[in-house]
Amino acid sequence: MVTYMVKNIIVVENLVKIYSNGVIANDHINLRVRKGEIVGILGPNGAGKTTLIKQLTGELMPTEGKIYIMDIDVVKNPSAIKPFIGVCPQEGNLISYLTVREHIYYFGRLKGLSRNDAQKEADKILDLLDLKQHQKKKIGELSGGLRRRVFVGIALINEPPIVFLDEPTAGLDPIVRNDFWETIEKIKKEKPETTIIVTTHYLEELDKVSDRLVFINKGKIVLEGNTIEVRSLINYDIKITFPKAFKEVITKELLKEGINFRLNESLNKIDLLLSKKDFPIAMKLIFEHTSDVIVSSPTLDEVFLGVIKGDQKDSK
Amino acid sequence: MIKKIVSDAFIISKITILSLREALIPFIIVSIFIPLGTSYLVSLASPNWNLTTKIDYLSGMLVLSSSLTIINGVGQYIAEDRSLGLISWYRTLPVHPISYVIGITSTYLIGILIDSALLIPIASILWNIHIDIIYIGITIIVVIIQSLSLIGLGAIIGTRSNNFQTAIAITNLLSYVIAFATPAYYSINAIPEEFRFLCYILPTTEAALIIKRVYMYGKINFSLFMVLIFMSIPYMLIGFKGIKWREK
Repeated sequence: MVTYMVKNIIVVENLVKIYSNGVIANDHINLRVRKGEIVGILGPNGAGKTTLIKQLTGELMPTEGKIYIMDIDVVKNPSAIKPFIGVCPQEGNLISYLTVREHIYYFGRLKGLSRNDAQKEADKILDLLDLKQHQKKKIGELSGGLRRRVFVGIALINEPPIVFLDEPTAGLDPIVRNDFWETIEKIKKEKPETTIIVTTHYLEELDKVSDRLVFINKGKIVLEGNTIEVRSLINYDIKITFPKAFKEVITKELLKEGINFRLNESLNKIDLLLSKKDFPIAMKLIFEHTSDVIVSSPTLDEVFLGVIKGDQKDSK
Repeated sequence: MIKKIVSDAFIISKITILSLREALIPFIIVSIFIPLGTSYLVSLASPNWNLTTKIDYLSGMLVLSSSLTIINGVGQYIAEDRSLGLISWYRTLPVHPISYVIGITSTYLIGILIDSALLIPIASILWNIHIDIIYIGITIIVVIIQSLSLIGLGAIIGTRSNNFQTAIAITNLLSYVIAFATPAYYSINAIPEEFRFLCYILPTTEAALIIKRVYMYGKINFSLFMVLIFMSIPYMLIGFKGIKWREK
């Protein structure tokens, strides 16, 4: 017991969460996280990611199963882990009338820091997250991205060994999301001992920072591994968008070439999802009909859902 | 443990009080102008009231305004914090729920203190009631004890209501019950017998009776005072035990 606890900072065994309305949010989840690991938890809306995080942080009572964080039984003693964790909740809000600095200071005080230490910690975190020039601003004056950075700042107060970031980039534009992940990379470099559990919809973002990916769907872990392993399991890693008018002809030719693909239709465009190896042939075929083409990485909803639903068969 | 609870309550109260930086004008209006305005309006309406009626009215205003402020304030503030997601933050910190509730109550207690401390001298001048300065102190102690005993009820409503609207509905309903069942503006005998049990289980009853007697006879009824204190203990215990902090 002690041995694996030292190795694994988080141990989840057969975790089940059934809400009072009968919804099974987590269905026998087993998870082990090592010290210093950055684990990305991915899944579509309603997959059970936030429920899992809330149980890990002791906010939500599991229906069944065990959770140990740093050898502490979270189910039996949820308050005992609070000093060791930092949390950036998904639906959390900041206090509109407090400034950025006041947030870090007062939350630091509530984490048990003395007045002096809380001030020093505020300086440190404001520096780390490049928030010093905004420290006197009230939360209402900040952009969404800066607010999210304050969220993370609060989670990092007093250097907790484990940080939970629940959908930290939800609702942010791509540039701000990129800034955010750069901040996480910076934390990873400067505080390699910190274990970070992060949930998101965006697979491509987690690729850069996470050591391991855990995919959840309908409350169950359906896929787990490091980013290379996971990438190899997911067939669709390129998205080509073209006008809907060419759907019939391009589909016919792709099938003729024996290419595995998946189509997502919207009002006037088609998203074609396929693997990198098929990309050159597909592009050649598409360019014969149209040059109105956008190439991008598919989002989790586009790729991962296809995999877990077994939608590959659709293209055959 | 107790040191941490007290220290956290102090920090949360500081955070709550900082909200007054933006809401200072409404706070001043509520704390100063409402007692002044209400006293003035009552003085206009009551030139022929006898002393007993005036004292009933004053004690009623003191007890009911403070108790309703606490129940509505705490219940709705917590429900709002929940809907805004602020409780999610506090829940992730090593903070005891009691610290949170006491912390957020501080602003309301300050408001009640200012309210009561102003209402008594203003009303005594405008309504022509003689009230010694020491009675103001006694009244404030009584009002604070009954307010503290009602904090827990507000906290239960705030933490257990499904949403903000439900919290408002329940706190309003409870306010009506307290306003009806507290023999402040009338005697206990005026309350229908089938509802009289409510008078006996509400700390506002004792609070109103103590204040009335102090103003009327210039004496503190110590047995009533002890009843109020003993009654407030189970209220606080039930309240703080009933707070739902961790989600089920």
